[in-house]
Amino acid sequence: MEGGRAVFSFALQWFPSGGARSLGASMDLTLGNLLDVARHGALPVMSIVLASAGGWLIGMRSMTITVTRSDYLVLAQAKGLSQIRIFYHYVIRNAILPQVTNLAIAMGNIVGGAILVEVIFNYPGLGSHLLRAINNQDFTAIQGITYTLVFSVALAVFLVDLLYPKLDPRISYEGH
Amino acid sequence: MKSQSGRRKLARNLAGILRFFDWTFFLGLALALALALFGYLGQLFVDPADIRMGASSFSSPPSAEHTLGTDALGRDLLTLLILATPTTLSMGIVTAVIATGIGTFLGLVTGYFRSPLEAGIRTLIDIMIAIPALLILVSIASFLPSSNTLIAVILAIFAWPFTARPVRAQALSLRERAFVKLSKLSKRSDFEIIFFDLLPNITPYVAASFVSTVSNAILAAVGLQLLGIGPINEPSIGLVLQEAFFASAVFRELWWWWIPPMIMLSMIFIGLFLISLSLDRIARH
Repeated sequence: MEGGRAVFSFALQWFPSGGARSLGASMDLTLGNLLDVARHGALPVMSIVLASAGGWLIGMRSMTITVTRSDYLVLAQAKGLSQIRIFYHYVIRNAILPQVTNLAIAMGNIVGGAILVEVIFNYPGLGSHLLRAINNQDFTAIQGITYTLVFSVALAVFLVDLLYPKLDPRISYEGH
Repeated sequence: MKSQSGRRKLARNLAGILRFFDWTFFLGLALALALALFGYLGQLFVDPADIRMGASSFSSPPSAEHTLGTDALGRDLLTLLILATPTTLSMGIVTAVIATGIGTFLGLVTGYFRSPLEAGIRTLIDIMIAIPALLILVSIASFLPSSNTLIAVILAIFAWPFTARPVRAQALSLRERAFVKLSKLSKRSDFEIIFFDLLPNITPYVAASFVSTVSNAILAAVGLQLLGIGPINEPSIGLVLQEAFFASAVFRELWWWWIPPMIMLSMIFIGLFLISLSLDRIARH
């Protein structure tokens, strides 16, 4: 990551080397400001995405293989549905379900990983504030940030759980 | 004559076991073993005095005298890395032994018995999985005494649910199988069934999760080190990297300081990942 920062922000000067916005930029919601925020976020985001995409790829691949062997897919092919329809409405629709479950499980890891990325890319998020609070022995700030992050992860997991019946009609929370 | 046929039989059995594994397993094993040998055997050949601060010249590039150069504190990097590897590997193994032990036991017990306690432990597993472990660890690591073993134990407290959950799922399906019913009819006790009927059937799962727990523990430990709040009294690969980054080794172009530990960590992660991938494939057969 540090190497990437050296290459992309110092050698090539494509991306800024730290911060979430340019110095002195206003908080107005203009296109220029949005692009500025996106440019500052690009390197940290890319490093999280690149580091975790492979695992998701393997999970999706093995689920797709499982779905491809199922009876309803044979039926869909026997009915003569187009390959595109089979792929989007039959394969992906069913293979994506465990990925959503995994997303809920991985949420905690993503937040944990974000702390590290924020510190290394000097990104002023909750993670780097947490580290600063720890180094200053600022206990109430540590408590507050930890609580906020744990709460938001729990909330996100809860939302994914609520979303699940919409994705998979076989699951419902009624009658439980 | 007899011993020879016995030896042949042993060789055939060994070949049968080896056929289970594919090339990913052996590649992963080779990577992991190379590092383990580098650390555990290498430390017999190095002089710990070489990693005292100022033991040799500062920030000198690789040369005949210092194969991997020296860091900005004047320590020989090859010696430092050799002494750092056992710490990092041992830590991952300690975490994995504790976490896999607790996880397998609780997973089996909650999967086999149906009781109110089971529902409680299941909820506990779900909660533990949702909580961001590294975040909690960051918050408490800075207040702990500087000890790799302590960090390993705390990592294990957060790691066991990731073993318990799949083991429990397996136990749930195994307990309905005919051979478990047969064992019950022949008056085997519940714990005998759990350890002699269920456990052998989930061994590949347990092995796969052991290996990935080692990898995750090392990753979390290196993460703590990179943030600068890990143990600092023993050399570890994460600590070498952290010192390199805190001394801006990347920008000072001291490549021999941060690239070798980076490569070693990649070797650990890739090696362990390949092993667990291959074990996982065997488990799904």
